Amino acid sequence: MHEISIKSDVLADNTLAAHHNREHLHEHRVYALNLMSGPGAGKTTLLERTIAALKDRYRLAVIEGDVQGRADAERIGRCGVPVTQINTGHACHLDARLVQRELHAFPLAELDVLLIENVGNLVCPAEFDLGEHDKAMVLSVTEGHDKPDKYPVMFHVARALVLSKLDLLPHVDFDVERATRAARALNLDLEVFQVSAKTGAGLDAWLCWLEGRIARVKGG
Amino acid sequence: MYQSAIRPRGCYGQSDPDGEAVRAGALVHELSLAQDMITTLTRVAAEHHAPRVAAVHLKLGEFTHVDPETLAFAFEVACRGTLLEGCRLEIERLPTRLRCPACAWEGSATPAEHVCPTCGHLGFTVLQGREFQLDSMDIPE
Repeated sequence: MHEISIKSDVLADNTLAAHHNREHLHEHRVYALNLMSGPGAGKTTLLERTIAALKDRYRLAVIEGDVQGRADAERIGRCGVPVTQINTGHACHLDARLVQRELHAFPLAELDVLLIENVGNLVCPAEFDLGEHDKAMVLSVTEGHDKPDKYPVMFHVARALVLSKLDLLPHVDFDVERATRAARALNLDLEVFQVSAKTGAGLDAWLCWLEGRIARVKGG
Repeated sequence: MYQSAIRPRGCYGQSDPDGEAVRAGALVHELSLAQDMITTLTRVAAEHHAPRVAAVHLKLGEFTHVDPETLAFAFEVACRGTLLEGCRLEIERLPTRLRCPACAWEGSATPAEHVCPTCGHLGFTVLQGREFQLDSMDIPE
């Protein structure tokens, strides 16, 4: 028997595509955010509020990832920004190659910010670098404060965590402090925001952070 | 508005907030990962003019969302009809190793309450556990 050394990351092809995306974005100084969460945590609603707040100052575009359907793209389209929908066809996450194809369809020279809404899933998106600048996670208070313990990798790879649906807090047994501690333990640099996209509470801090991140890429 | 809808090859399963349905038998992203493994392995085997492969050695950290049993099953299925068909997949699990950034304590599991057992600092650096690497393959002489 003859042993051949390989020493290659299984995700090397994805990493290569992500690197290509990163260079492509960098060339046009477009900031990209990968928004991840379980299904129904409120990513699309948070996006709608974020777009409404920023669209007069930045040229925004959105990539929507879903297993099937165009419902989210239609919602975002009504916000008046360009949107493209990737239907993964039962795939549980976006990967860098899918995003790469879409990037070439966008006129990046005319954009400042690309918001990518990943497929709703707390497992797979964590493993796939898309070439984005930041990953942000949304965790709704209705999902339970034990999620950082159950799905640690998602919290480890995110730069920001938005605790969403805070308006429902009086009705659920969600321990904000416990969730925040557990998530920060997994990720020393994690920024945590408490937001109700419905009432608008806490949105300012999230937007302030996001604009700071955009400024790092755009300069200014 | 410019829009498109593309249906790539991918993994088959369903997003599931608690994971139980996925573990119950649906294939998730492990199938697309197995296909990525086969692409690399087929290329390396061809470079070495290997007509078939006896074994594949993989390093998989415990701090990943990749399930080894699901991956092994997906790999076996995805190997069918390739020169890898029937090969043995040996997965070396690398335990999660953490380090406290304040006092340099190192340990292999997440301590209770997420604080350093030595100094009480909240949060750790992950030293090991994120690996997902094809290490080597065995080919018959």
